[in-house]
Amino acid sequence: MNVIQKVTIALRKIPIAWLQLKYQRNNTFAGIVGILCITVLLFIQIGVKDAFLDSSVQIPASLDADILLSSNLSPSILRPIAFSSRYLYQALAIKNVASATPFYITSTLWHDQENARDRNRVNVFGISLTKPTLNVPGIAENLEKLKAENSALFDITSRDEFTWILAKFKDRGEFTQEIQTGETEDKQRIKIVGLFKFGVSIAYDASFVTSEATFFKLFRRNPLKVDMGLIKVKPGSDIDRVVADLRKFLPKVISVNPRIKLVQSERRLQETNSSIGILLQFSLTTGVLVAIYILYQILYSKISSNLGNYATLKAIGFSQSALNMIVLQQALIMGVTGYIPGTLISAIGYKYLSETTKIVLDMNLVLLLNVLILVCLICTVSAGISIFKLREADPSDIFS
Amino acid sequence: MNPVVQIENLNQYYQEGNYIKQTLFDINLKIYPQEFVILTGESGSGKTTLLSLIGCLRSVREGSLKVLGYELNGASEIERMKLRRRVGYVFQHFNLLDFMTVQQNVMISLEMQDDFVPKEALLRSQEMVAAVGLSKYMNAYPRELSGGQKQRVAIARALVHRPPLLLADEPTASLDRRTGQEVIELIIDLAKQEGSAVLLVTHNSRIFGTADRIIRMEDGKLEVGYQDQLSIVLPALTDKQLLDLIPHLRTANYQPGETIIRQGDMARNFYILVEGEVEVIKENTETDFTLLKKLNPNTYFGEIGLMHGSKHTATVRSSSHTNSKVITIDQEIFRQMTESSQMTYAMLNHKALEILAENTYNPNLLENQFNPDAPLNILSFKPGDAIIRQGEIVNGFYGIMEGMVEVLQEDLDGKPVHLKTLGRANYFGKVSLPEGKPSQETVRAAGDSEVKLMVINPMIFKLMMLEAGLLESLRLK
Repeated sequence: MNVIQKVTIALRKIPIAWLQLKYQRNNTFAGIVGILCITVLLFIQIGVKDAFLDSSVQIPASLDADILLSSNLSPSILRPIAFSSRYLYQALAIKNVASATPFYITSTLWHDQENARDRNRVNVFGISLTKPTLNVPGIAENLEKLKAENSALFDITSRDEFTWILAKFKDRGEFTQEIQTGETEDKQRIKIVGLFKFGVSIAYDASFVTSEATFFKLFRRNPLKVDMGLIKVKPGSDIDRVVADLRKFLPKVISVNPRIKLVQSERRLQETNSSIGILLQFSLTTGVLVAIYILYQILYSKISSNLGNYATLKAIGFSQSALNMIVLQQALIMGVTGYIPGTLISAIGYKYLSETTKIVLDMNLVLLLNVLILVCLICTVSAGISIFKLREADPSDIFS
Repeated sequence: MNPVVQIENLNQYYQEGNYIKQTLFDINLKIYPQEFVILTGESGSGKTTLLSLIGCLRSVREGSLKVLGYELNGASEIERMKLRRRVGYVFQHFNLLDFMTVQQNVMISLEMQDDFVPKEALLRSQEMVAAVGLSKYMNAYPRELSGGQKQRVAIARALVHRPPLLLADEPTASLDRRTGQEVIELIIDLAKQEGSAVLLVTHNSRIFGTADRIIRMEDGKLEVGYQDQLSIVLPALTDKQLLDLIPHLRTANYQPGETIIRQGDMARNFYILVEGEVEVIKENTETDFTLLKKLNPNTYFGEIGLMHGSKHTATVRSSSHTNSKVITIDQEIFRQMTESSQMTYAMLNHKALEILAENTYNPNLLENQFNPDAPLNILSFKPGDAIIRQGEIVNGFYGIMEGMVEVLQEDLDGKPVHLKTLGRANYFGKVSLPEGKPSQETVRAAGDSEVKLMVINPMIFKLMMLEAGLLESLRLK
């Protein structure tokens, strides 16, 4: 008998797990609702965590570069300490380096007179108008406009506190706004000339892009000190090799990292070392444990009420593992059945949260699969624990 | 033919913490293919333990238990589980799977078979549901069925895979009498049809007659000898009557010298000695007593008082050198037994009269010298001698102690026509008829040996019988 025949026969056997679920409708419904809630909980937990991590690395993730140079004094790539632009030009000497572009970034407080709002933290990028820097929508087409003095692009995905800027821009086009940055006492005037799309994080509520010149002026910055160096390698060359060469050539004070790896390590660092990362991780773990417990309770009561049936099945020749399979199947059936509506509800939740927080909660295929796998794992573990209860089904009790 | 169940020297223990109790003692039993065996016994006697051991539901620790040829002592859980698939089970509480339909409940047994073919299994299970008369309920759930119907489904499930052995645990205990009877008939019919041996545990004595064999558990021991002993002691009982009697038997053990019955106590039981030796003692006064006789196994006592609804006429005690074991049958069961078997009654009565005769025998009384005032006369007749002549006034109750008599009736031409021949332990005479009515028959000694009769004074006999309320049951010949 080959495997296909065996499977065919197995499929045509009485679906005990399913029949039992169907028979105990109320208990099964409770189980499915339980899984539904668990699914929503997982989506929110994982979604928030992913969004936090994504947003925390969105600056390096959005840069158009293969290798990043930064000061090794920087606590992280997200809070760069400026270093001398000299090293950037030295990097150009290395074989296979196509370009080396300075990149300026600062985080400041926004205060505008008209709205007298709370001070919000904003992110300002100073970019080269000739070389590629930020790889996000809305930059390339607006580079010309940034040439004008004090002009800036505004992030359309900024928090609600800034929607008036968007509204105003959409309403009457370019306009000038008087603002006060944290660095200076006196008021500065910037002109909103266009929009780009970047995104907010827990660290900032909005972003602006200016030309290098405007950036220097606004924040009184020394043009010879750059925050980050963006290196592009010649097409087809080995990035790791170039990194090694750069490390050899540049002084130890400069960190040289492939951008992709940096994004990954930064993400990991945020997940395991930042307090928010740890909190989110902890709350996800707690969520999973609670989920296992809830499902275990449901399975336990199901097994308890069916103990006689299980003992009978055992008496007429069912093996313990066959009974275990019944419980596992039930857990998985409830799991998948609860997962589907749970996902739909989560999708609505994502939409709402994304709109209100402007932090992007993205329900992608990987996330869908991750949550499904997690739900199945929870089901399996719960079923595994409830098997201890199942062992109480003793066929020798039946002859009374 | 290899037995489907073969048990040798099986012991079983129940352990809870440090407390160990032996539940089965030296069980030996064989059940052959297609045999229908009933296992009976008090609750707590160990029959459930034995059944669950045979059913491969518990592990065997000591002794040998083979089911379908497989040794269960030392068998793993997996081996026992596989063996369970080849046995059919019927439980007291039906144990149907409430979430499955009738047809599915039956088919489940087939799914575990190595040769499971879905399509055939479906047809076979439907056929089996039909065979128990529940075609109408094929897709019903157990909750929609009555108790009897549920047990029918359980029987179909137990036999659908044609198991060589069917184990049934009190299958009628949760059912009313009529339904129980139907269920048993169904088990027997279907088990025969599917070729299964049946081991059925029950208290229900109404179904005992249907068994090929009845075994009885008592205090963890299998009592297999009763049937044989009873048939030796009470040869006139039919097999069915024997089987009906078995569940009501009790046994009792007595120390050397221990009194079993006491002269003058009200008779309550009938006793059969199965082991040891007892002494029958006549207590004349408190200090003066006579040893009437000693009884060996396969003899009985206690019947005289019981038959006459009176007190024991002698004391019986275990002999001083041995323990004795007796089977006891209580008054009511004894009454039922003697009512259903007149032969047995006659035999017991004969024996009682014999003893009475022995005890009242007067050596001075010459045989054949009939004394109408004496309570009892012993008369001897030579072959061919007439005992009663047709037309003669009969006034006596005659019991044949030895030899045979012939009963004749003269036809219209005065020619004697043979009616019947009566042997030992038979009776004739006219007691119930108005006295003084002439005999319709001639009775004479037949055969070629001397006939010894006892003749009981009709007044005394009538009084005795009336007192015992047994007159009606004794059809005088």
